[in-house]
Amino acid sequence: MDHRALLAGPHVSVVSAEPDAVLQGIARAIGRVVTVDGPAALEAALSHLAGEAARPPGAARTLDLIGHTRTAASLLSLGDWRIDAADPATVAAFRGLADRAVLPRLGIRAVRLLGCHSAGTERGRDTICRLAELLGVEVAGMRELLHVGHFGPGGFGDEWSFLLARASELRAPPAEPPGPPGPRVLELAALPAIGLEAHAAPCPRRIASADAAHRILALVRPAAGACMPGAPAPPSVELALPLPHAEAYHLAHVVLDGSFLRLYPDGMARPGVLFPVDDREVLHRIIAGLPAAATPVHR
Amino acid sequence: MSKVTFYGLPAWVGAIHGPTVCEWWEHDPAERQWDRSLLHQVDLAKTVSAALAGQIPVAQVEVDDHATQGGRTTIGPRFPGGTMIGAIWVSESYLAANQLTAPSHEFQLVQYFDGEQQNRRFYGFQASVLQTQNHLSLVQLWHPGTGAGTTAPPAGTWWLDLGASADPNAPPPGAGQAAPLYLDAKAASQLVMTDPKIPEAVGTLPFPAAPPGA
Repeated sequence: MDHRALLAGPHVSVVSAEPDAVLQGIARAIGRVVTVDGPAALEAALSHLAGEAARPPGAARTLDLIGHTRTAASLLSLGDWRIDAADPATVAAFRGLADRAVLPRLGIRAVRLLGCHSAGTERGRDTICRLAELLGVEVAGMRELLHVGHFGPGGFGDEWSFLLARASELRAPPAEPPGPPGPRVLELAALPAIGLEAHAAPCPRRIASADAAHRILALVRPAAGACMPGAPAPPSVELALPLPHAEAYHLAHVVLDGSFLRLYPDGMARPGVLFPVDDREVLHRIIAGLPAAATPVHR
Repeated sequence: MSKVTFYGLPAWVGAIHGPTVCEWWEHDPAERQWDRSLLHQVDLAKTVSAALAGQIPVAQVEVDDHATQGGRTTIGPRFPGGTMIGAIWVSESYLAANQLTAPSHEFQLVQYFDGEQQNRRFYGFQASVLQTQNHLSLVQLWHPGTGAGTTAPPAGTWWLDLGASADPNAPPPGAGQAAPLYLDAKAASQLVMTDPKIPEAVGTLPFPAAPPGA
């Protein structure tokens, strides 16, 4: 392995050395990894890399430690080594890296413990926070299960970073206890404001008055929003709901014969969220009284 | 109508007799004194896809296909070189013949081979139906293996047409109920879900995009 190639991208990926098809698949997906089976091998690999690093100013890398989590505490393992901040050998290994300034020499600004639910237990989260204190960089773990689909050429996909729990977040007092990923709640203020000329409607468009918009939204169960997997149901009508003080609208699609309104709190390019309508007959009557839009309709 | 239920069990391969025939323990052998009398023999070629292709009768199916073929078994699929520790999804007849203990619904899948359901398969989930609207149900689902008997949060909430996507022979939970739900492979593959961790200490895989024979 050309060690300089490991430093070519923003992630230095270190994979647990063990005969395991999942880890080997991840290593193949990344393409350039170093495998280690314990603290000595990790220290040797990183020290060797640091000796070769020609870090351009401003380069910021992550050190991604990739392995399975073991024990009920979901502790990340590299070979037989369980990364556990309660273990003096683990503390000594990371303190050694800090003492020799290995991570700064490699431009590493964050360490990520990439194993299933590595931030899913109190002991796992404690390890993340302790390592952050020892190393003086951000340390993160996984909130969720991890699989090969989360990796691509160069390392852990940036699009999956929402699965990470960071030491800086874990140490901060939570504003509210985290809730389960339950139904979405309709928040009008979170809906995107759309200029009608900038958006081609996929179906006939009706423009609601402020009063009509109020009556339409009153028909919706606001705490029962969720996506519907698969191809999106075709809308029968696009409703333009006016904003109070701007020449822009929130857009809503009437789907499944008026049983649902589909709104787009994550943006029009993202899948819409379906909210059930309590009385679709009333909805149809309100819509029938709305003026049709003059803007062209894309079919 | 031919229908087979498969059960996901952890497997440690203990002996290899051919490219697809091996013996396996369902527990870590280091914890059982490497007792060879506890090994179970299996032919990893006696799969769902072999039955669908007419190569073996449905009654002879022993295991689900390997994950690389759209199934959920992760040991093998061929030796030497095949994976030695992973998941094996065994048929109900194999389970009974080997006196194995059936795991919970989150580690089960149902495969149809003919009849009205044709080649359809349904994966077991822990689900909670929050409410309904016409033919759709607002359903919370847990990643398989994280739902029943744990405090893990659900993986997500979706509006699902359970009349079209749930196993018709295993009625889905009603509104306000938390119960097993067998969801067909097409619907399940559209959710952001992962296969169960079997054994607990190894990795997981995303749901198969296309089941065997699809």
